[in-house]
Amino acid sequence: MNISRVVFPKLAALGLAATPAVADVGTQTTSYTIYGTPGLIAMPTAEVATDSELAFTYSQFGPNASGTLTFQITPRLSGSFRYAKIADFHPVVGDYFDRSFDVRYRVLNESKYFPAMSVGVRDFIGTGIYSSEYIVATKTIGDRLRLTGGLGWGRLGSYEPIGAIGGARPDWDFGKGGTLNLSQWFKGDFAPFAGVSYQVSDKLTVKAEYSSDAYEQEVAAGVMEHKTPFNFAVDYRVSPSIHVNAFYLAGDTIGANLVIRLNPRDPVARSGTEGAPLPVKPRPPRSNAQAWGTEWIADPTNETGIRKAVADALGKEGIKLQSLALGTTRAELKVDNRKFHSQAQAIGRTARVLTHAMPPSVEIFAITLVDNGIPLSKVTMRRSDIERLEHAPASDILNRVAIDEAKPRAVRRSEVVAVEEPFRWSLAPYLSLGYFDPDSPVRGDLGVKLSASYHVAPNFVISGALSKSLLGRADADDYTPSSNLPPVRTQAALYSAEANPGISNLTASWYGRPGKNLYSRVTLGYMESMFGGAAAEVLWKPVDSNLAVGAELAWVKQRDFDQLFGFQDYDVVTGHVSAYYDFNNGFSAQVDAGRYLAGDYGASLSVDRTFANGWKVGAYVTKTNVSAEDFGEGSFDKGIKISLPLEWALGTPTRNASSAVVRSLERDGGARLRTEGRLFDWVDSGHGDALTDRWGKFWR
Amino acid sequence: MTEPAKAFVSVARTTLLGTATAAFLAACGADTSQGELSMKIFEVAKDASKDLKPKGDGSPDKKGGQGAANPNVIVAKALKATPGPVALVVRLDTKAVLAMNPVGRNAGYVTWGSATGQGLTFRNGVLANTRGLGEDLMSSRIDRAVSAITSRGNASYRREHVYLDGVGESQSLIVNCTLRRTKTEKVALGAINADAAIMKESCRGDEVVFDNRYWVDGRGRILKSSQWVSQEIGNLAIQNLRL
Repeated sequence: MNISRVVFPKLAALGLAATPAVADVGTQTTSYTIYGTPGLIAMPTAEVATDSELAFTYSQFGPNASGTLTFQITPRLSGSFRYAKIADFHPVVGDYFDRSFDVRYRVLNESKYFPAMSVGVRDFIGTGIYSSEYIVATKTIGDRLRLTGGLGWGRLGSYEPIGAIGGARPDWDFGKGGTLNLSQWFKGDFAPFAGVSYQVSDKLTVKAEYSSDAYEQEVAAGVMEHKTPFNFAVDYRVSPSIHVNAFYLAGDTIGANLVIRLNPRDPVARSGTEGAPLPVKPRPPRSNAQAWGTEWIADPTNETGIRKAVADALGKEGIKLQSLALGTTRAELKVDNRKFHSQAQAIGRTARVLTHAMPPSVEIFAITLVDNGIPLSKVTMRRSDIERLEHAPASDILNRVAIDEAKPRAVRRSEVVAVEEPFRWSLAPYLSLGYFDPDSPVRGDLGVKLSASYHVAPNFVISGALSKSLLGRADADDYTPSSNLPPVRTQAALYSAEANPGISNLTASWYGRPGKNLYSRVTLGYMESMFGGAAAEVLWKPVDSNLAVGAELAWVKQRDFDQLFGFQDYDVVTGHVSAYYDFNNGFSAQVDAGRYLAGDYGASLSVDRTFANGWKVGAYVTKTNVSAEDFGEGSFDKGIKISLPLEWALGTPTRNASSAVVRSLERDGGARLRTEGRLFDWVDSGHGDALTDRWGKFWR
Repeated sequence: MTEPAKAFVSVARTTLLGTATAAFLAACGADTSQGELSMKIFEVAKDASKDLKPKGDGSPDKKGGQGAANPNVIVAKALKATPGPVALVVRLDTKAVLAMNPVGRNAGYVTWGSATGQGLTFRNGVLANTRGLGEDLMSSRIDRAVSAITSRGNASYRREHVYLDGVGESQSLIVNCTLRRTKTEKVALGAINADAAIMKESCRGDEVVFDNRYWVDGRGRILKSSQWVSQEIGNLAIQNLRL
């Protein structure tokens, strides 16, 4: 399973209000090629997309098709992942499915007299079908016209080359793919290419180019002819986020593509349509000695009444009051925010409620954020500041609060104020997309999922889910044994065929705070569709630290294909030591080293670009002591991860996110146990950086 | 429970009910009646918004001020719904109408609420922040604007507005404004009947230009106004029916 709950087309249908950010490096474009990269038709340009733009492109030309995901990683650097079908590529194999990665970098920005210049590498890590390198320059003339010229190597140097570097381009044995073709870069024949784009109107752009690609492989396979080096296209903007291109290639082939452009900086829906918060209620003047008295503390029914009023009021805001302890001048609360993506917003709303409910003598509000029954951080503020700064910029109150480590003790069941029904369930449809073996394209699986949970204690939950596929599941015929490793992931088709309905997961999870800065989790049961057993995890994460370190150890056994209660013979001890680091510049990294499900040892590195609103776009690689031959196609595991906060798409506050992992190819090597409730993500969301990043909503 | 504490709890309850969008029925107390009031005014405003919607060809309603379309009827209904201050707020871009009344006071700020969950905070009638509109004006530093407008003199000054950008981070917008006193006009609507100076405020920033207008009476009260919120929301026309 590779992409879950894909909501992108739906998002695009809503129509994005894409307001272009201030141009950082200039010479930006919204035009994407047939390969889903910023550029002309098939040729690249020195243009860049808007910083952090994420573009999904589906292209069809002749019998060939491809889907591409391109991300403008920094204003100058962008990367693409492509999944392509090349029809009748091979006389024996027939259609060929290829995965490839590209990167390009803006070297020089456009100035009054000089063009912008970029260098790029196409298909540098796959099987090399599209392998090429280029240097390209683009100059803007007036407001609407852009001219591009460049030199290409490899595939982009195949038509009418004008020279060569280092003789013939060296052969490259891509083996199982996935290795870097560094020895080929900028070697062999090179050929010129050029092009022009003209923006006719806001909606319409026309493009023409002289292509240096001779389409040798396609011509050899007989799927197209190369009659001319000239290509033509029109780009039509359907909405700010959707473009359609129609193009005519090599005087022979027509095609079209659909481009969906998203940007984490441009929410689909403006946030803030939730109801206005309760206004702060200032206290009566100090001179009113009776109101400011402290005798109320002597009567315990006061505390009970206040606790009930606060619990009710917070409940209406989607915040669960876990505990409330009162002193004459101090209120200590634990709250579980179930609604607001910004924890700061939940704290702000809690503080507003307290100004209505607390007797005037209570000056200090200490609000502890709790998730899974575990305190994450404590935010302490003065009521006087809340009264004084209600209408000031949120940064003013941020300067007046203290964010500290919360007392490391799980919430006890006996102290919970807003007692909830411990048993909860839901029935919902699901859609998962994935491909099951290397030669099959993307497949969708649509079904229903029955989920239920029982909270034994705030930090101890038993939860499970039963899934029934209705449409599109794989059957056993789709499975071809193809691994020299224990088949820990490649038997997905067998699970899909036999488990219907199947128990997706059924676990007991217990969360704890073993000490200062420490968090723990123990999970028992059927953690995921293919494995069950026992796992324990511990995380060290100070509330204000950029660094966190964790470790997980698990003993798991492979589940039966019917996904009921039985197990197969294979079992393994797996576990990792992990380090997490936030560079505080919008990038974060994670390293996991340890033993993977197939018993292989190695490490994973992932780098994410993160946004304050919760978007994450990242890439990961996993290299283990499995040889490329044993691993199979792709040589090692690598892929792209995207996490999209639903608040960004819906506008209404919600803590949910939709996550997708696009793997270049899922194999048995470097496979990690999938389990819910891993500590870092939810612990981090209640810590200093996440709080301050989203502090702007404190008063919202 | 001792009396003062009981009062706190009760106030907490009723105020919360008062500002919540739907449940106004239970409990008692001043704030709750405000909630019910908002609902009533909301109904009135719904009628009003029907009338305020532009016609298909953009030409004015030929029937003129007949029946429910008569603004005086709407105003009378709104005034009848409450004994306290009440205002009609129209978003000029969409003609959406909100009926609002005060729900909170803190130092010089008064927060007005609608039954549908929007909130506007004013300082002496000058818009200081908004909530529940979408691209809200989160906060502002407008001390000099407030004193110049309410003292009805010509002036120039800076305003600072704070908004949340697409990733949810605070962004400050600084604009330079000039305030000019123009003609005097009688404002007679609802319970209001007074002569007011029309104050025109023109503001300009890096990427934004907007105009506000205030009808200010001799006591420095803003009787009606058109005030800019943000690029997305545009201007709100704020018409007090009773101060």
